[in-house]
Amino acid sequence: MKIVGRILIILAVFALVMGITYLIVNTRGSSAPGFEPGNERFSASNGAPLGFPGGGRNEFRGERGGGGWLLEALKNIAIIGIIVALIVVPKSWMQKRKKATQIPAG
Amino acid sequence: MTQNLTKPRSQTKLKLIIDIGIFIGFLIAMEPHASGLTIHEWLATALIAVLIVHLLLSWDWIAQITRRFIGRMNRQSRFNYILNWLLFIDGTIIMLSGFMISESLMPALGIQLPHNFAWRSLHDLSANLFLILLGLHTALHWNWIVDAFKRFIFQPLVKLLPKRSRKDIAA
Repeated sequence: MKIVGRILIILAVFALVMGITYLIVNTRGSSAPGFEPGNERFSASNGAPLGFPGGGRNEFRGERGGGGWLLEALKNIAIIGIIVALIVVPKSWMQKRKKATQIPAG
Repeated sequence: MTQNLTKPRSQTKLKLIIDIGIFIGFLIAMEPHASGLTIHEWLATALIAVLIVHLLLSWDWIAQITRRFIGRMNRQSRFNYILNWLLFIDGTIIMLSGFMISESLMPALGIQLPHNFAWRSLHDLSANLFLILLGLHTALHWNWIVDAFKRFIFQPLVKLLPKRSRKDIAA
C-alpha cells in the first residue's frame, strides 16, 4: 500500500511537470508568428503548413549509415566520462592532499 | 541517490542492476539512428517504469532530504537534491515532447497529435541537457558506483577464478 502511494506521488509530480510544460509550450507556440490557432501547427509565410521533410522525422530513418551511430553512442559516453573525470579527479586529489597534510600534524 | 552501502545487500544489488539498465537503455534511446524510431519510442516509454523503481529504491533519501531541505544540510546533499529534481523535470520534458512528436507509439495507441516544431526542438534540447545532468549525477555518485561494482561484480568474478589466479590479481 505504501509503495502504491509512493508511485501515485511520483506519477502526480510527473503529470504536474508535464502539464506545466504543455501549457508553457502551447502558450509560447500560439503567440509565435505563423501559428494557426485551433490547428496547432505552424505555417510558412505563404500559408503552406510546415511539417517534417517528407512527412516524417527522416533523421530517424537510418540515412546515417555505417558506424555513425556507434560514434554518436561513444560520443555520449565520452561526454559523461569527461564530466565525471572533471569532478571526481580534482575531488579525490583534494581529499588525498587534505589527508596528507593531516597526517604530519596528527 | 543512496550513497551508502549500509542498505540491505539485496536492495543495493537491485539498485545497481536497475541503474546499469537505465544507463544502457538511455544510451540506446539516445541513438534512434541505430535502434529505429519504434524501438526508440517504446524503450523510452518503458524507461518511465524503471525510473519509478529507481525513485522508489531511493525514497528514504528523497523523503529525508525533502524534510531537511529548508533547514541545515551540507552543500553536497543540497546540490545533489537540486540536481535530481532537474533530472526529473528534464526527463519529464523529454518524455512529454517525445509523446508530442511520436510517430510510432502514439499512432499505435490510436492517438493523433498535431505537429509542432516547438516540441521537436524542446525534445532535442532537453535530451542534450539530460546527458550533461546525467554526467553530473554519475560524478556525484561515483564512490557508490565504484563500491557497488567492486562488491557485486568484481569480487564475485574474482571468487570464480582459481586460487592461484586470485593471488596474482591481489599481487
